[in-house]
Amino acid sequence: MNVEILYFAGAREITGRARETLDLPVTVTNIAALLAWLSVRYPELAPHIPSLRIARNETFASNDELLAPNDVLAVIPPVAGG
Amino acid sequence: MSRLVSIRTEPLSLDEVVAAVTRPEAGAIAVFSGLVRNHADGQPVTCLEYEAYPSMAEKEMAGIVAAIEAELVEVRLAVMHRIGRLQVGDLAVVCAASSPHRDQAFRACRALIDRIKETVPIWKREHGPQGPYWVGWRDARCATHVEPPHSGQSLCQTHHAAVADEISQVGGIAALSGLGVAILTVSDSRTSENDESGQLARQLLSEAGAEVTASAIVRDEPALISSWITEQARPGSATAIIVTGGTGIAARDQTLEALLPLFSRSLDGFGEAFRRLSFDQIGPRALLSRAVAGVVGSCLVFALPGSPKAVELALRELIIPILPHATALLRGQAVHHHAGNSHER
Repeated sequence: MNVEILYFAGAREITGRARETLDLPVTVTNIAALLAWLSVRYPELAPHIPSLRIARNETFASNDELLAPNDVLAVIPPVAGG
Repeated sequence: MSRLVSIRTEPLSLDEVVAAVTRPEAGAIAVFSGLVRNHADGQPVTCLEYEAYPSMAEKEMAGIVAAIEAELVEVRLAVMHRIGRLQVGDLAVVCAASSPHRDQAFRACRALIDRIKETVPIWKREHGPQGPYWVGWRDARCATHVEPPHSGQSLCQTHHAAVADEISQVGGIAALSGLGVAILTVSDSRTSENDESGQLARQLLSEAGAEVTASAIVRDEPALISSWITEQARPGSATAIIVTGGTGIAARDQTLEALLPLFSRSLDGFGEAFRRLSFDQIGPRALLSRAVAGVVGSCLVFALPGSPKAVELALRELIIPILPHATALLRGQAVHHHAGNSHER
């Protein structure tokens, strides 16, 4: 399943990229699995996983929300606007 | 109804935001201006960089505006947030709320800035004497640690030491780096020259950061297989063993006959998931594979069919993703960092 993943702020610095298009393993079906998989792909991201949220197609997604092909998935570190 | 809700790189205009909510029936306009200040947590700040996920941030802000306008009737809101590099004194955010009366205007303006700070995907990086850092980022990593005392320079040093500890602890769990894996090819015909599956397993595991601690080719003889596995599963040796070949149903396929008696626990889910994935590639022939996994000592053993395709499928889709957490559980070092991610407790 092809998805686009966006990385912002501290997550972008750890992964070294702002976006990438990836073919996810079939085992990665929901948001929680995506976070676990990202923590393997980017070990330096692992300690931050509890503080990260994922936005799926520009809306915050819960851990059990299912992924669909061509989703745009954004890795959202703790926000600090204002 | 459209509202002024905007993320901008140019300097913000207070007048523009106020004008957007000005209307004849509104006798009160409350405005909040957020400016870059010259200190944070007792440290000087020289400049700030704001970053946003602009399309989502504008959507999120529009949602907040609509929600507050629905909660507090007769209120109208507008907001602008700036991103990019800002200097001390620059406007970072401007919120305005108009209403017939001041009480509603104050409440709405306050609610708007509070909710923006909570959920809108905007980040800021402060530049100070300790170098630049993303606000909220390093603190989140230390969430499990006791908050260090707020005392100037030592704050940052304590904090960084705590972060380093956590990285080294969690890093070993999250990556295959530091994991020793042994590879056994079971075949009556393969040699080191043509052991395609064994070499593929070595390549995939090495790419994932694992160290291949031993590899061998043995004939389909249960005694040979068991003795090699028992040797590699000794404490301090491999943390996982990948066996390829001998999992079919022919008379010479003896891998399971060797492994099953050694298993203290079997992981049936591995065989089930593997055949499920394999079915998508080769159809009902997948059912003729007895691929299996189990625990020998504190070592995880996976038995895969001998074809390179099967080895690639099993390693990429199942074994490499699960190995870090599984080996940590076996060693008793697992930390459940992904709340809600596991069905086991």
